[in-house]
Amino acid sequence: MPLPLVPLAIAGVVGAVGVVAGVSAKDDFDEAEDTNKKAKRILGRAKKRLKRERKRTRDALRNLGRQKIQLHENGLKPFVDTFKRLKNVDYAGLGSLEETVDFEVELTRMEQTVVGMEEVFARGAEALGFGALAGLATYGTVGFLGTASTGTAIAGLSGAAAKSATLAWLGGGSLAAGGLGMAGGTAVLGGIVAAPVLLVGGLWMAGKAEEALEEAESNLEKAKTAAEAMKTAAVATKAITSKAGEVQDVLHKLQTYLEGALTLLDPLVAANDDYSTYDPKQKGIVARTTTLAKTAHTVSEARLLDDDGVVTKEIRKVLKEANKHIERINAI
Amino acid sequence: MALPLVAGTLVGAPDPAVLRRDEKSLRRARKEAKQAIVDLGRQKIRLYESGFKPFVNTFKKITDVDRGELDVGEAADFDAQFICLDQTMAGMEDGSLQADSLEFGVFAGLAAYGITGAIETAPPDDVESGRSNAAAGDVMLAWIGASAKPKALRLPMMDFTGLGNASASRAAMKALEVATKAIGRSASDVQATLAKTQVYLEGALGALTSLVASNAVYRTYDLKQKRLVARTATLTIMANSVAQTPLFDEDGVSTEGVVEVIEKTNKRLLSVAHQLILED
Repeated sequence: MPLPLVPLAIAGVVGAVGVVAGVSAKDDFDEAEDTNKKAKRILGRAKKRLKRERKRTRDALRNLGRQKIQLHENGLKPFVDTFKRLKNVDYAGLGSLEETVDFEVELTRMEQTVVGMEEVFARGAEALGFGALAGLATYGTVGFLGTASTGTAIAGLSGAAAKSATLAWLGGGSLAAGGLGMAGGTAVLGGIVAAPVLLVGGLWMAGKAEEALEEAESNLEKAKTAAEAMKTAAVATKAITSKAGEVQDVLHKLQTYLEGALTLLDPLVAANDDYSTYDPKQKGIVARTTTLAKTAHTVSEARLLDDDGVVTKEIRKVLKEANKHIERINAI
Repeated sequence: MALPLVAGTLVGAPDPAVLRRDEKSLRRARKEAKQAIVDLGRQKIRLYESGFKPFVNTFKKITDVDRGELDVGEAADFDAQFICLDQTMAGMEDGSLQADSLEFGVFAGLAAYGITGAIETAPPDDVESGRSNAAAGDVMLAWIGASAKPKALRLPMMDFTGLGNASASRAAMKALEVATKAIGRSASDVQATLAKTQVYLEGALGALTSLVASNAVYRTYDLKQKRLVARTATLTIMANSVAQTPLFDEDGVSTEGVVEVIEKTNKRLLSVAHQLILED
């Protein structure tokens, strides 16, 4: 064997290995690139879906807040004003007519709500921002005013909403950055929606193909985990939207019936404000209007979400009762 | 001597700040009218889905209905109205009007012309394609729905670009703003009336559906049950007449018919409300 050929053969083998290694590195980089693209796609899609749900929830809370304001203006306030003019009311009699007790206590609460709402209006109901409307939607009037700090309470996110991690997140706050009332990461939504930062690019420059591939695979895992978390958050957000819509719908129905009933109660009280002289039919008007107002008030004041952003059992219960009440009215 | 300035001031050379303010105010009116129209269109779809459709389906199941006995108030031509409703439903079948996927044009068509009108003006295969249907055929709706925000507002019927005629432009803009606001208000009023009617209708429908599921023979009903049938039918007809009333005429002016139908409906709704509160 001609010796001089040996080094050449070795060089050939080394060259071939080099070429193979080069091809392999290129394949790794290509795969890493594809994997990173996939990770970005997964993350992008999840973010988009969550963003869409978040917007819908914001709209639903805003609409519910507005509905509560309307209920106050056209239902509860006129009812309290009219009812206060009535003399010699037999509360026990009212209760037996509509199977409801504690009207007197309930009326005191209703008055507190009306006074509280007036405080909101004094600062300009038209100009209420998301924070205030969401606060009203979530806590009811008394709860909202109780949690909001004075002075800046009604203005946008600086009010009650900022005290809830979920509402702050819905309002656009970046909980991942630790801002806007992050409550120790305990909120269902706030704690799980932080998007990971995908590391892409540095290793390409250094020509480290294997590490680039490992990094891309790690990115893909991170993206999948975050997308799952975002999916969960989207489902939780959707549940809030749905319940807020349901509450709004029930309040709108109750308000409509209450407005109708008030058109009977107002002239009755204007003509004669002594309840003790009423005949059974007239007492029936008082009882049914009062029951409607009480039901509407209970739904309006029930808390929609707990501190973790979860729909409360309380709201489910009052909705069920209110729907039964509405059914009873329509069965006539 | 500053004659050109004096002349400019007296003749009405444009004050850019005032013009900008007017334009801003007009844009806001347009935005609000657009929202009111979309809300009304959505309301009509909801009414169709949760009111008309279930009513027609339930009412068709009731046998031996004594039309003479069925007290639907002023709506004496109940049969004709029922057929009209049935036809409207046929036009909206196959889920062609899914509120989530619609664009402004369809909402505007529904809001402005009523359900039947919107279906008739839209090409058969193009009902969901936004601006290409009813709204596009209407100058006012097309303008309200325009997404572009040009510096100078250009309308097919009005041109505000003539800077040498600023006072005329301002007057035209104000006139248009008033007309736009009137349309927005009308749309909101109709929407509120329909929403209220829907509350009573849905309530009555819930009770009627349960009744018909247990017994569909009208002649066996007691007085209270017969009243429930009549109440549901009356509410449906009322809602349909509001939903079908055009919001404005071809010149973009709010119609008197809208005001009339709203007043009439609200009065009748009150009597339904009183019936529910007073009766045991």
